[in-house]
Amino acid sequence: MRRSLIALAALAAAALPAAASADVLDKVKERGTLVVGVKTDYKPFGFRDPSGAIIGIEPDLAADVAKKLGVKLELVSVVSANRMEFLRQGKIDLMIATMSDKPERRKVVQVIEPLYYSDAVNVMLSDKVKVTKWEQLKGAKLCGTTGAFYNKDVATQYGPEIISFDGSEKPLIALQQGNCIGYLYDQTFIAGKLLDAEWKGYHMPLPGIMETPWAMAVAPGEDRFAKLMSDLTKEWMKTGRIVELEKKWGVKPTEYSERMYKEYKGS
Amino acid sequence: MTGAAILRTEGLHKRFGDLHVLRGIDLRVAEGERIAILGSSGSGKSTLLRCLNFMELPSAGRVFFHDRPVGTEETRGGATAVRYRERDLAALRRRVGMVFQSFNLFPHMTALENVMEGPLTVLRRGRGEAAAAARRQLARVGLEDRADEYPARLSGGQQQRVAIARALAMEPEVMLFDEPTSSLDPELVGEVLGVIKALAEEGRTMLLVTHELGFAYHVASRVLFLHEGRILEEGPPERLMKAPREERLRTFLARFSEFSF
Amino acid sequence: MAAFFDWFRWLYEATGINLTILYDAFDRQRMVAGFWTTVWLCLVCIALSVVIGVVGAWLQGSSLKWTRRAVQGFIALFRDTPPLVQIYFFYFGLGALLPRVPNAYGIPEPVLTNVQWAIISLSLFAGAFNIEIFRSGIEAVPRATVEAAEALGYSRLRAYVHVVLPLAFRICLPALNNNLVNLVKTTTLAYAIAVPEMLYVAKQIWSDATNVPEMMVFLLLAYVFLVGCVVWVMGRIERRLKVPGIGL
Repeated sequence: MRRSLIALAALAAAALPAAASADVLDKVKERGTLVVGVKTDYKPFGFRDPSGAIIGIEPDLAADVAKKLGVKLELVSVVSANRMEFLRQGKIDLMIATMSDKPERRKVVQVIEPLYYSDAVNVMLSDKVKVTKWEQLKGAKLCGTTGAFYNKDVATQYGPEIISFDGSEKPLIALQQGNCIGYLYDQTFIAGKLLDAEWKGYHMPLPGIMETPWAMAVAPGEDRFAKLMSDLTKEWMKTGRIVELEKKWGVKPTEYSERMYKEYKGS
Repeated sequence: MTGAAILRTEGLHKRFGDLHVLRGIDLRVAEGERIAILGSSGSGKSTLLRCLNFMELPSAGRVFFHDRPVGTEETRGGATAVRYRERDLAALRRRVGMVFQSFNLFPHMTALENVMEGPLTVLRRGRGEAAAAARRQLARVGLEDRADEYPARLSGGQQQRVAIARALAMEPEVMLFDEPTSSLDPELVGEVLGVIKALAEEGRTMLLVTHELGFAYHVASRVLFLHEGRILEEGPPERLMKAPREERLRTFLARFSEFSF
Repeated sequence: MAAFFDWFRWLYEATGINLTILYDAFDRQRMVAGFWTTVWLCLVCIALSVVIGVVGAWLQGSSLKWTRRAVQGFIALFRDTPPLVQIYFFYFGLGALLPRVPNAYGIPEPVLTNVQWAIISLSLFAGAFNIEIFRSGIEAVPRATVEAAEALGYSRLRAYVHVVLPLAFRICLPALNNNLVNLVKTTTLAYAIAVPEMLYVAKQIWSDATNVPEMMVFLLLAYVFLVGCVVWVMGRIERRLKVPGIGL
């Protein structure tokens, strides 16, 4: 389903006239504003504060980019289904929107390397469940979301019994009602949930597994902007900016951010 | 009056809404009596029979079985009413057999099973015992060779004979026949009447609602003539049917032109 | 056997037809388990729903007004609402009100599992229809036939069990067949509360192996088979109960 949607998007994109012919960096400077597509439903990576302003880790990164270019920042709310479209149509100059890096996507948009962040698979557990290794979950009942690609791998590798529901609300209700001891899902999602008072009494004690890196992207052909973003990403890693933002927004730094920080610090 | 009263009614009334069908029936049925009930349609004769085994609950008046009243009197808020409990009625019906105009056999059971059903379920007899008894009853009505047929495969006359055997299998003290031959083709009437006549000759107590005046004349020990919910005239068949006193009974008898003794 | 399973791996490599439920041991085991879960759900729910139908139809003939109204309300509730909503209502709604017992981790766990909730909910759903079906059968039994039983000294309950039900059952068998076939198909809704029946397992498998068309075809055939079994059994019952003169 998802795959065919992406294919369809790619097809539609290819049919459109080449959008960005002039260099986008020039246009941004001329305009005096950088337009960045971010998520608004993904706490703490991109969400709205009570006043409606978009805040979070990704908006902060976007602000860094605007500062570097010396322009003002405009944030546009995107969702998974339109984020690549917006980029190709020139509605946004840059996308920092929790997008997993996939080969098909690289055919549609230009991905910035190194990859700025990485999600992983993790499990949200009741505080009463004290475990330090995934292997300790053997035979335990975990709630899950139908269609998550890692359910089977986790089940075969570590042996929990996964009972999965459609969407993410129902497994969370099932967890609260005690039908399972934990929720197996994207680590970033769990990290966001743990910020809510509602999920007091739950924790994420295990290291993330099965990393899926996230990619920022610019429109295809924007090589100059891509190069600039690539350099900026390396700088973030060198200075530990991402780990710093994770801490600022209350998220336990991921292994990926810490590894990248360690790797680039000396360079 | 000879013998002890098996069934007795006192001031029996039955209303269906505005329709006042029975208007005070006092009747005494002694052991061994064979009572034929005559009357034109709407006179209340079937209703009277149905009140005797409580297929219909009386609106007023009481029924006594062996001189014991059926149902319990209860006074509530100054008004006295008779309460008929299911258990009491079932106990009475076990001892009062009934044969219906339209046979009403259980269509999902064979003739034998129909006859066995009462003793098996109500009297809690064993299966073997009930089957043997049922075969004897079927033999009595001349149908032992049709024991394994379903009702749909039997003629009307045969069905009614099975129905009689079914009632007899409960070994009732009184038999109520509610127009047992009225649904039958004329050529089938005889076989059913033959069975009833044989029962009469055994000395069974029975009440019979019928339009077969000749049969009533020969079989009954007493005849009642019902008119508009009341017993207008009663007496031995010779007297009542040959020298009726009431004008209405004379008119009634005259309508049956083929009637001959 | 291993060679047989490996042939399907070869089939996948050669043609792209991906039947993981045959060559992948993990998928095979969970699909076999899923099949038996579906069979179990069907058998238990059919039995319970028929019991609910028989008892409900009897209560519906009660002389007590409030008993009849309660049965009527029950039917309205379960016949007129979508079964998926009922399953969610039971599992997420009523489930939250249920007493809990602490499990090995000390986490309070509801006393009823998702499988038990699915059985309860599906049985009540099909049972509501069965009450109506049995009632229509009971109403088709002539009053005179019941009178004949009463004249022999049957109580209302005995007449119901020995005369009314056997006749009503024969009359309403075709409608009952339809409802039970529907029930078998409706058991797939249990996937919504993660009961590992066939549809649930199929969804797990196709989200891992993206072999949606293959699993769809398999599911279709599996249900054709299961419903075929129910129809066959009901056909045998129908033939066994067949009696001349009663419309079947």
